[in-house]
Amino acid sequence: MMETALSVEGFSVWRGRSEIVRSVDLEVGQGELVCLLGSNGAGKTTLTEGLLGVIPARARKLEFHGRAIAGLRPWHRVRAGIVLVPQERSLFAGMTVEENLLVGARPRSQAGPFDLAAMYELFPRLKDRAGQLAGTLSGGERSMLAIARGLMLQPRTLVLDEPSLGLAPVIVQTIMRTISDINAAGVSILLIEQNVHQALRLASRGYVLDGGKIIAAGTAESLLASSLVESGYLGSTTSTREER
Amino acid sequence: MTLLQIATTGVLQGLIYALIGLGLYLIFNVMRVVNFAHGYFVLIGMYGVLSLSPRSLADFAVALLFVAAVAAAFGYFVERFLIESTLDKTGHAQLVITLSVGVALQYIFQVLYPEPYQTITNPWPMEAITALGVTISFARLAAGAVSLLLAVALSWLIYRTRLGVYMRACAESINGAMFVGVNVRRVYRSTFALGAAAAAVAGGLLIPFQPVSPLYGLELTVKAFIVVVIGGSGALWGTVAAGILLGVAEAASSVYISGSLGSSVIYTLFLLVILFRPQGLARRTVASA
Amino acid sequence: MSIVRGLVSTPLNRVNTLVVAVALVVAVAFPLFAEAPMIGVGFVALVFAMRNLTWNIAGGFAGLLSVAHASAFGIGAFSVAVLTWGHGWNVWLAIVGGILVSASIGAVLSLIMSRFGVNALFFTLGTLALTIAISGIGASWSVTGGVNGLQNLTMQEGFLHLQWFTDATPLYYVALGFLILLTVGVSFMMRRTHFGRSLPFIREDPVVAASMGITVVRNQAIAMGISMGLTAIPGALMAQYTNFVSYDSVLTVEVGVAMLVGAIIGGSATLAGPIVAGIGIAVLEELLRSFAVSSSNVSSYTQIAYAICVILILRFGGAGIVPLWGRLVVRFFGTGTPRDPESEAPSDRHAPDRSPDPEVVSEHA
Repeated sequence: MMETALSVEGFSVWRGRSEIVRSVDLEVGQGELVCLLGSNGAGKTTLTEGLLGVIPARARKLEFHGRAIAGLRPWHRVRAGIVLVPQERSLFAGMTVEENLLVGARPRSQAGPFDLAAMYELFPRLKDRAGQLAGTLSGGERSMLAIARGLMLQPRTLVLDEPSLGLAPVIVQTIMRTISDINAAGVSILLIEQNVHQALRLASRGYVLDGGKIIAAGTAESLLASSLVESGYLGSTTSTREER
Repeated sequence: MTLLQIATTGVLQGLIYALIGLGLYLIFNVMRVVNFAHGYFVLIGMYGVLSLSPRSLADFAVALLFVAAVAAAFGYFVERFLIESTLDKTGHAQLVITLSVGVALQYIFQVLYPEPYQTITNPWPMEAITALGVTISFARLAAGAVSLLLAVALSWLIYRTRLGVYMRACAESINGAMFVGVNVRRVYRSTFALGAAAAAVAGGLLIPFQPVSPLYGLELTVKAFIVVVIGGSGALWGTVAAGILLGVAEAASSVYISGSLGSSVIYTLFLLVILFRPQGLARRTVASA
Repeated sequence: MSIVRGLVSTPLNRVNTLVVAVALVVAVAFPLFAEAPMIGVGFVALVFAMRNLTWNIAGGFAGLLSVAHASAFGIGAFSVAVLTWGHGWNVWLAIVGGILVSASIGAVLSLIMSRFGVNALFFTLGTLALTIAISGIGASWSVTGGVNGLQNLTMQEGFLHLQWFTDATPLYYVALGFLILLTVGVSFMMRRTHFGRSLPFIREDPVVAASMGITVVRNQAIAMGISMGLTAIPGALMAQYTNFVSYDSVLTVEVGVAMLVGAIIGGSATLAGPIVAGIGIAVLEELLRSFAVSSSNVSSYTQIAYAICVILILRFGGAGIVPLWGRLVVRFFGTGTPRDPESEAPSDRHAPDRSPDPEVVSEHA
């Protein structure tokens, strides 16, 4: 049994008065790459924001490396090592790429393996764009910058909310490969995706979220084989419900 | 009065408006809070220096530092204890709270300083300077110069310091700032304190040549807003330029239009500007909708 | 009769029906037992209540926090002063004129400010700028008497002229009549008309309201129009009572702030709140006077007191006096019905973290 990075039980998250995520159980092991699947409106993004403490949430248990984090403010959770790369990226559009990377960077004394040089090595595109305003980047570059900005915080667990959303297949490949590399470097990853096949190829385990509840969980192989995936229920890109 | 005289007076007055506006600009852009007490923070500076009544330039400088510290502490208090908890809620509670803080300050000043339109004796070493047929009171000239200097200092703080980076990050994206571990609340408190201090210093610079009355606070709030709205959300220098513009427009209207109608003209012009060019700050509010 | 059943259906309704009935009887009988100067105080209280109520149509129900209602109040007063006292118009005609002018200003202002988007954060600022501009015009225009103001030198008395020089009682009853009429009218509008029912949705979230098919910008403009138009009525009555109008008595920003603050203290989402607060404020001022606070400081102290009340109400999450009263009554008498599931919503639960800025969060939703 490996050490647990993130352990969540009975986790509910609200938006305004509506309970979007209902009593979810979820676990990410140290160094593991777990994916969370679900169509639009399943509550994936709400779940991530609840994890970070940005919106009201309640949990029977919310632990990060054995430490209860429910009472922590978002920035303290980030400093504890749980880092979110949000779906909307939340880049600092009016700041340059390099400034974006440096906002949350720790002082040199506390720096880990992910420094500016390492980021430019991982994403050579960002090096070319270093002096450019983040608001002028392409979709793929924005996604890369968001991931790199997250890595600069030296995360123990990286929560990636649809990093491939709206990107061309070639770039999706690159990003997925990078995610795999990051995981190989020892960072636990919770990958949130609609792109079921891509995600399950990387992950060891997965959860399926629908209507705010976990409706299936298991190893990547078992999920790939399950009827949920077969039926095309998951990964449908033409969902009628809006992500709220 | 010559055009040059109007322009000089206007620009100098405008630099002070720019400093006041910069404080508001910071608070608005970083926190999305419409601080209606801002003009009253200026009054804290004016009444503060007034009651210290400095005799020498050194005293005056100390008095300025003192009112800056008092206003910063007050701004911190207002943010920490009155505004912070309302940021969670929908609606515009902060707007009404800051307005009420302003009203309370106005009437407290009314009770404490019943005599209207007081001023202090000129603490600067010279009375006036005449050049090219333009006569400018030295206090006004110095106030403009110090305001410009402080505007540059603020811009250094915003672009070159850690706090400045955090403030800009919050202004760009609150979520983004939180997600990179910025302690947003601490940034808010610092911003409010800083904005209040800038306003109070501007007030202290005004008092040697601008008699103060409690009613002046509201007018300054509106003027600061005009500066921020016209300046737009893009860059600091937009705010400074808008301040100068307002100062010149005011100087001109006070010469060509009689009495209180002058300010009416300015406010009407402002409404027209909103009507035809609602850019700048407006873009942000629409984006959040 | 559904209305009668509505009045007595729950303990809260029964208590409130009783309170309203007693208040009405007291209000009607008040001039019979009160001394002459107190009738004047009563009249002023009614005017405060009326202007808070009319402010509340836009400010409370539609969420348009306007200070420009000061201009509406002032225009109401000046329309009587200029048209009736100056040009011999019938006072009722002058009031209608004042209503129309204020209403158009309100509607146009709302349309201008909608340029900032339906989520008008700058609405209050714009109303503030307009109020100062109009106040400046009032102070410098010869028609409005400039800084000296206008004095009523007419002689006619009676209901047709809405003027009784020696006795405040008839004017008191006129104000009471208007207040009742407006209360019933606003209540009807808010409950029975499509427009009225759309306002709370606009207040809660203009974007969602728009997605529900509500024409937000138009309804905001109508609300501002109605609200500012009706605010001219208490202004006109005030002018007929004081027989003197100047820009600094009716056109200042303070008048607008007083309405805003009054409605919020009372409970801006309620019908009764602004009325209760208006009467309360007038009584408070009178009490302070009777405690021999030097007269120039009376209004300062009351203003400071309101400001602190408003800050406390907003800071500690109350919704005003009337909602507080409602909760108190329910606490003592129960609701009379099974528990309202709404009150069990998560807002009452322990929520460990809240978003620091709901607007920004929803931006990315």
